[in-house]
Amino acid sequence: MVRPCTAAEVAKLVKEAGAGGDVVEVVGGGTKGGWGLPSGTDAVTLSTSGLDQTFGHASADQTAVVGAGMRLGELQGRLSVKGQWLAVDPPDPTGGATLGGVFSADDAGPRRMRYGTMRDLVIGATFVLADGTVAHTGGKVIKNVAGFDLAKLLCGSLGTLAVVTELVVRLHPLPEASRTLRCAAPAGQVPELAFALARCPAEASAVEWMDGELYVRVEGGAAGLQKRVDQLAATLGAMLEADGTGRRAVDPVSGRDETALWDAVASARRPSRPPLSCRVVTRPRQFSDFHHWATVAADEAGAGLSVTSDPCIGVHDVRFTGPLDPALDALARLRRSLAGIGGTAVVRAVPRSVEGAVVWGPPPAAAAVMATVKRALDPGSTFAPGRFSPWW
Amino acid sequence: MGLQAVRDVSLDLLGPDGVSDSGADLRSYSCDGLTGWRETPGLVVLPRTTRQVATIVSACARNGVPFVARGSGTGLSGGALPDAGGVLIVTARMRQIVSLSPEDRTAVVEPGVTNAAISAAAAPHGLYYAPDPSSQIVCSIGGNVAENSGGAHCLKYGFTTNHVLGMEVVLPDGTVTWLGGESWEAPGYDLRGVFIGSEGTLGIATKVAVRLLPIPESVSTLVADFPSPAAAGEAVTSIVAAGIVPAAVEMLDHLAIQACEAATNAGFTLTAGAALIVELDGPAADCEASFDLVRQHCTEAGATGIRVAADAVDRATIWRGRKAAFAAAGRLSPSYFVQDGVIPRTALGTVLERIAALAAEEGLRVANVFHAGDGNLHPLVLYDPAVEGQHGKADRLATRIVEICVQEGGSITGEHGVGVDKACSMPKMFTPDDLAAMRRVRDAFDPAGIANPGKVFPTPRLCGDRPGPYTPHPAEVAGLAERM
Ligand SMILES: Cc1cc2nc3c(=O)[nH]c(=O)nc-3n(C[C@H](O)[C@H](O)[C@H](O)COP(=O)(O)OP(=O)(O)OC[C@H]3O[C@@H](n4cnc5c(N)ncnc54)[C@H](O)[C@@H]3O)c2cc1C
Repeated sequence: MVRPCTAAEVAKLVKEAGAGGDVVEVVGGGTKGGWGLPSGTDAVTLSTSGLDQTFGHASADQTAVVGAGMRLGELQGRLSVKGQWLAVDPPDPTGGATLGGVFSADDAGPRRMRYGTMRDLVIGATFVLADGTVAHTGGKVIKNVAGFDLAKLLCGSLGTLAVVTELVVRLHPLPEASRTLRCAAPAGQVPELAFALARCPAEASAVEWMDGELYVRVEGGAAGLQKRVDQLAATLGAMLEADGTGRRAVDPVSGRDETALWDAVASARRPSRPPLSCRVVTRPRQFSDFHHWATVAADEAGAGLSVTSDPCIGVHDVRFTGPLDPALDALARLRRSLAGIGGTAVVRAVPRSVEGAVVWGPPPAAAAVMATVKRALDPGSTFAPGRFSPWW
Repeated sequence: MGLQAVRDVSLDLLGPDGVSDSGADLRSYSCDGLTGWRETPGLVVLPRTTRQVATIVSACARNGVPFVARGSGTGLSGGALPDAGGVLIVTARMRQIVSLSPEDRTAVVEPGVTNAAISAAAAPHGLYYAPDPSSQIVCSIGGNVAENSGGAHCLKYGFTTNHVLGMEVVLPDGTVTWLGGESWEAPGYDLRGVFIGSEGTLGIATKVAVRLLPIPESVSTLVADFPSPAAAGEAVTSIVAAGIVPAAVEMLDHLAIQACEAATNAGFTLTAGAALIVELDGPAADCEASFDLVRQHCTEAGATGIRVAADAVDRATIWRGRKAAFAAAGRLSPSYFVQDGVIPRTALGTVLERIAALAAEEGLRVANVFHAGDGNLHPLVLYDPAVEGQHGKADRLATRIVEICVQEGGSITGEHGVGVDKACSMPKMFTPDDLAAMRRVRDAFDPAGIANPGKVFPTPRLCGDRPGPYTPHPAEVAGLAERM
């Protein structure tokens, strides 16, 4: 394990590794080991934990320059002093995730509905290519269209293109107040509820469905919050009643209970839970199809099923429980059904014995171009070769 | 020869109606909105389908002929400047809204569809497409994707890249593929994010999947007068510090106020040192509370008067006044350069002082319009071409202003793009290594270098030439669009 503290040190290490034909695996907090395929046991592990010193908070400009190795929790703590935050809430139950890791995985939580993901919040990056080139993309200002936006390419690339050493992020004010509405909602009713919530003028910042319960978060200025809560509660109430199964309660949750509720959601979404978790993406209106197929797949394969979903944006985390073989069978069945509607399923936690084709599923249309881009930036395949295998 | 071969393929494919190769026809495509840069294309084609675009691009690839995509030609950096020995592929006949799904809040449209047409199609469903460049009635979504365009409301809502989920593209070798898709997340590298803002150098977008947002419940707008831009800047700082994210914040300095008011009678105060337009939108309950705070912050920062837009008509009048700035500068001066640079918003006071000092040095006047929320500055460098040497001075001043922006930690362009116009300024902002990394990605998409060559990247051939002054775009003359 090597632990460089500056971009120059990273450059030196990476160049040496590349020259010696070594493979480099970049690790931040090590919380996403199951995302993509591992690089093999002889890889040099490059820890970014030493790249955690840089911190420049331009609070009046709502931006910050941050070392990629800084832990997300640490960063949020520092920003909160000035009433701001980096508006991402990925599941991070151990508090180990680093900024660079969350960026490289483009991991996000429920509030992406309102704020987007790291992809939308990073405005500049410094990175080191396999040949030791230290390069920058973007800048320090939110509005900027000069040159290619290479930060987008690095975001979600799982450490396969470069070592990200520093990021410039745009920030948001910490919401003054927050409330979450909670109600029971059968899967069959989720699409219409999601449709109404996504368009409700009260602007929910997260809508999450987890095994039969729906959570709707609203946040912002304290003065207007109650009215917005009422508006959302009325929207939900009307639809739940129209369901015909009788009146169901819509409970407002706040304070510590609210924090606990979202912690529970995060821990359910934590992708490292055995035996097999995967990220399924469909269009929002395909929720019913998705849920039906996931249920059928689990039943037919004899696997258990747990679903956590952002129904307003069509992003679902599926966990098949029980022994591994039925879980893999359920995944294969679900994939076959999703193929017809252009949905995707990518495995995010699976025992290392499983092949790449099972992890990634069918390749995206532009896989060949992605492979060319990988070769262009990392011609010697120094960074995590095979992580996206068999795609490239 | 190469071009002849592409012409034959195109004629076969599109018929004479879809191909222009005669002098006058070709010349009408010789420039985009930055009319100082001109080149007559070798050939102009007007395809209607993805397959036609792919066939023509394949022919270009086989014959080593460069191609340039063109949407509506409103670009302000010479991005759609044709290649004399190449093909200009115009998307004007690709104007179908392919699908619109209110349940998904998405639409798939062809590249020639105008920005405003997307919102018009979405409106019956209570939805709209958020990025709103002031050229939105004419500019195409394909051009928006290429330039990563933003509008007055990008402070709160972001840019094209935050609202486009995917594109069908024809790659420079003629292959058709999708980058991203119609869902919120796509596995693999985010090539869509790289393509957006690449100014036509990575291929041609033939379909664009966009997100739509619900139309906000409430909108409130005010204009506050201040003794100076610095005081107005203070107001913005305290509004932001209070945790308010306005939908838009615009500033005009004293000279710009004179120009806009003379052109539109929008009701700006002629004696003010600066005018600040603040717009809030969102849930009614939130807007009301925040709007009171905004007024308070303006007053505390020394506002000498505040006008609240009484209704939608009044709001439109204020915006008309603001958006007239570029064209209205003609009332102050026979000619001028429109600059586009970005600074960290808090550097406003320093930067305006430096601009004023430089202007005094050159003996010229500069009017400033400013997207004050996000630090995007549009200085209008006024000059008289009849006065010996003034054109050169104005040109130099405009270039030095962008250099100041970079020195203050900003950018050489916030929305007009690099194109040919600022390719030579790229090294001011990026190191040779930065540019080499970008170039590697470009080469991965386009090893032969035939997609919009000579744009974005500095080349020795280019970096001797100079750009031209402001001339109104035909859309502006026709009253269809304003620059901001
Ligand atoms: C009056 C006025 C006001 C403006 N206001 C704003 C503003 O507020 N905000 C802002 O951001 N911009 C603004 N602009 C600039 C301009 O309108 C935008 O850059 C717009 O996106 C260009 O669209 P277009 O269709 O005219 O593109 P064009 O000018 O035709 O082309 C622009 C670039 O896009 C490429 N291109 C076009 N179509 C495609 C395609 N299908 N695939 C790949 N590449 C393609 C071209 O090769 C070129 O590089 C303004 C311009 C004018 C004239």
